Amino acid sequence: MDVKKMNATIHNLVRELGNALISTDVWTIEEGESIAGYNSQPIACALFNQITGYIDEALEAGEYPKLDKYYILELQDGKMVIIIPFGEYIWEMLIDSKRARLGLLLNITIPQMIESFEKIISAT
Amino acid sequence: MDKQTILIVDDEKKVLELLKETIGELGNEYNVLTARNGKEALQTFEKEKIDLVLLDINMPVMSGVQVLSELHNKKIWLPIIILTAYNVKGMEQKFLEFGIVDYLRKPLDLKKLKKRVEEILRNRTKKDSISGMSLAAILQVLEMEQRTGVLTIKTDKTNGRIFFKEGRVVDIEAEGLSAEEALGDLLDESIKHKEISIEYLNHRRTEKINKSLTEILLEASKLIDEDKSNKKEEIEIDDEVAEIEEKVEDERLNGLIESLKEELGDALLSTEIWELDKGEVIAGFNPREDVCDLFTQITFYINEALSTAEYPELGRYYILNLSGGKISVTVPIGEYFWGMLIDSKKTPLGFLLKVVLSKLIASFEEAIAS
Repeated sequence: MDVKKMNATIHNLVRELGNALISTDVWTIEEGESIAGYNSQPIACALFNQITGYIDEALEAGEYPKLDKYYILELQDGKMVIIIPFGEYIWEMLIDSKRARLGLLLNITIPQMIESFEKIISAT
Repeated sequence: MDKQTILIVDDEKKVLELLKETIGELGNEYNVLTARNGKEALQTFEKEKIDLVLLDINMPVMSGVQVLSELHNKKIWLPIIILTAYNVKGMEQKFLEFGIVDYLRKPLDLKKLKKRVEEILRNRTKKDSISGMSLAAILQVLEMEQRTGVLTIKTDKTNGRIFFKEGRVVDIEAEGLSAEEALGDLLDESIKHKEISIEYLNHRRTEKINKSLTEILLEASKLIDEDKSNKKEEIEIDDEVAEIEEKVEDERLNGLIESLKEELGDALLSTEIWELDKGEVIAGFNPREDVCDLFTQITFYINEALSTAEYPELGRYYILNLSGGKISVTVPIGEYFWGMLIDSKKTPLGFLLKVVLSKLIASFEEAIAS
């Protein structure tokens, strides 16, 4: 992965979301350690690495459609976590949903970020 | 046989030493513990099994009367000898409610004290533990033998005591119950008696029950029958209420499914509401039974992982973007789960979250709470 390009994409995300973005990290499934991020949270990398793995396995075992581009967990305290797994990489964003404009975030920002993320990974 | 334990409670150090020495003269048969006030005495009751208490009435911190009240409130019945420099005649009636077996005036007649201690504790060792006999039969035997003492009964439901004097039942007590209620509970043969024991002890409980044993047994039997009939009626009413509640709940939940169908139109592929305990669909549209188990497991895993990592807990929902242009939404609230499978091409995510879900989750919470 081109870490410079990933950090530039994260920089764009920070600019677009402002203080609605609490933290964000990108890591490899194998290492589970952040390689790019903003207010990096090492716990989040390990935690969502584990949860993503479990969801993948459970859906497959349940013969249910596979996880595709993202999943979202609404958390207590007005927070929301968006996870974008792509190939060997996972991108996690912790959002303050009280400050975020959800319509804009979910319909425009996230699809744009997913596209950029996939481009960066596919280019390597 | 285990040594019997005597607790002496007095604020005067010299009196404690003198009484300890006097009891010691009775031989090695007894353990002697001391307490300097009521508070210390109550702490000792919690830690030790006490067979007899020698209790001073006038003490600082907590008086002897307060100790008696506490023991009475906690339903602890023990033989107690009151030691007092005052005339307790006015208080006698009140004291009789407690476990008092005698009063000794200060300055103490030590010879008399030793005699009473021996007498009481000797009788306490004559403790019978009975099994294989009904409580009614035991009372009839006690009546025939004209015995005096206390019958202690422990059941699954309550613990109680029946005080008898020369064969006559004079008082009955059980935790939080009146004498009549206690009688019904203690004599109900459908309730398993864990333990019945008798102490042949010369207590001073006043006669509160002015009935013959036959009358008592008849009355108890009548109470038990009435209680059983009331319980039967209560169960029938409870069943009816549960049935109505279930119907109302089904109607509410089906109403929610209809609202979701209305909001999403043909974007809604399937939906299921299930209860954690039952694990099967209780309301739905194109429901899939296997979804209940799958998303219950995923939800548990997410909850546990978040909690272990000390991360904020899961809120009201989670969304999985699935292959084939589908979105799965799971709303776990208390014991209920609501799952939805949606065609993501036909519904923008922002609209789903901000408009549809926020409204329906509130209705779901309301339906469950009511």
